[in-house]
Amino acid sequence: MLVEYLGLIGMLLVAVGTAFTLFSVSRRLRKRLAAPSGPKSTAALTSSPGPAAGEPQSKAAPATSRYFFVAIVGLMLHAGSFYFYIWGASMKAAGLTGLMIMLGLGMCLMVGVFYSWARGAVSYATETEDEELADSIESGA
Amino acid sequence: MLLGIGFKVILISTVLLGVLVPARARLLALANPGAELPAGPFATHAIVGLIRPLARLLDLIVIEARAKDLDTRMSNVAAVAVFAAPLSAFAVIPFGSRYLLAGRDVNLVVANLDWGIVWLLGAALISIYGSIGLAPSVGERVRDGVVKISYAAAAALSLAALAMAFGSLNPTAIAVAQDRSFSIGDFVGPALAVLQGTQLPGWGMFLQPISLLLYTVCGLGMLQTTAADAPGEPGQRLTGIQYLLVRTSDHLGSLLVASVVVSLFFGSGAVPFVSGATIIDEIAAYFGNGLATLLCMLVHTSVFFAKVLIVVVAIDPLRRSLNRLSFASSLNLCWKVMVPLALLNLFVTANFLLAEETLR
Repeated sequence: MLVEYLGLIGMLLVAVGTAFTLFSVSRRLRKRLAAPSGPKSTAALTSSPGPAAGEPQSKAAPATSRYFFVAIVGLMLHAGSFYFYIWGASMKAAGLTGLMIMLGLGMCLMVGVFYSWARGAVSYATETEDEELADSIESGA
Repeated sequence: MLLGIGFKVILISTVLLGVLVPARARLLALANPGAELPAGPFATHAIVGLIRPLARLLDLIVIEARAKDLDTRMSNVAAVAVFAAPLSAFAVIPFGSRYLLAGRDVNLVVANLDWGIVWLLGAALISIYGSIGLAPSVGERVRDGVVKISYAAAAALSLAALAMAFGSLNPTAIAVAQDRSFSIGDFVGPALAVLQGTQLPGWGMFLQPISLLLYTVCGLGMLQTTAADAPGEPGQRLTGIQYLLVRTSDHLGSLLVASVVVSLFFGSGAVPFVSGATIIDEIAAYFGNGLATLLCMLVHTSVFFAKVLIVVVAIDPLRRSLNRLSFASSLNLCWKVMVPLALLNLFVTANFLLAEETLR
C-alpha cells in the first residue's frame, strides 16, 4: 500500500530536518559569536591546532586504476544481487528454470570476480605493498 | 493511520537519537576518558546538569573547519547523506511481530514495505556515497569507496540467501515467520533418532548461519573507518556540525547492523520457544484479549531492544578488529572469501529448497 511509504518518507524527513535545523542553528550562533559583543571567538573551540588554511592537506592520489576496476566489479555485483533478491523471494515459483538462469548470472558475476582477481586487482596480498602505498601517500610522492 | 505512522516515526527517532545514540557515545567515552572535547563558550557558562549536554552540543556545532580542502556545500550534503541513510533504514526494521488488535492488523514497524531488505541495501549505498564525498582527495575517495562497496556487495548477497530461505523481502514477514519453533527431526530424518524430539526457534541464525556470519562481518566492514573518512577532531577537516553528523551516523550504523541482525537472524522480538500467540492466550485468560495483545507487544519490543543491546556490545570487538585490518586484508577478505562464500551459500540454499519442494 502506498500509505506504507509515508513511514519511510517520515523517517527521511526527520533525518534531513534534524540536520538542516542544526545547520540553521549553527549559522545563527556563528553570526552571534562573530559579533564584537559575542562571548568568545569560535577559533578558541578547537581542542588542538589543526592545519592552517594554506597548509597542504590533500594527499597524493594513489594509483587509482585498479581501485576503479574493483569498484566497478563491486557495483556490478551489487546491481546483480538485486536480481538474486527478486529470484529469492519467488524462487519456488521460478523452479528449476529460474535456478538455471540465476546460475548463469552467478557464473557471469564470478567470471568478473575471477578475471579481476587474475588481473591482480584484488591481489594486495602483502602488507609491505600496502605499507609502501601508505608511505607514498604520506610523503606525497 | 497517519497519526499512527507519525507517532511511530517520532517515537523511533526519539529513542534512537535521544537514548540509544547518546548511550553508546557515553559507553565509548567511558572507555576512552581522554577523548572528551574541551568546554567552549556555551558549556563554560552553562549551569551544570541537564543544560550542560545541550551547551556542549551548541559548542560543537559552531566550530568551523580550518582546512579548506573540502567544498563546503558538497561536504554538507555528504554529511547529511551519511546521517540520514542509517536513520531512514530503521523505518523498515520490525521491533516485534504482527498482531490483531481490536480487529485491526497492527505491526511494530514504521514502514511495512514488501521490499524492505532492498531499502536496507539502498540506504547502505547512500551512506557509502556520502562517506566517499567526505574524503579529502580523489585517490582516497576511490580507495575508501572500494573497501566499502566490496563489503556491501558481499552483504547484499548474504541477505539474498536469507530472503530465499523465508521466501520474502519484507522484514516484518521474516520477523513473523521467526515467531515459531521447528523440530530438528524434520531436517535430519530418522537417521539421527537422538535429535528427533529436539526443538529449535525458527530464527534466521539456525536456518542461515553462514548468512549471519557473512552479514555481520560485511555489515561492520561497511562501517569501517578508513583513513579517508576518519573525522579527526572537529574543526580540523570537518566543521563541528559535519563531525557531529558523521559521529552520530557511526553510532547509528552500529545500532542498525545490530538491529538487522536481531530482526532477521535472532527472531526480532520473539521469545525463544514461546510464540506470540501462546503469550497472548496465557495473559488473555486473566486480562482479556486486548490487554493481552498490548502486553505481548510490550514484551516483544523489550526483548527486541534487549537483544539489540547485547548484539551491539558483542559485535564491538569484531568491529575494532575489522578497523585494524589493512586495505589489502579487507579486499582479500571480501573478494577471496566473502563474495564466493556468499554466492555458494545462495546456490546451496536454492538447491536445498528446490529439492525439498520436489520431494514434497
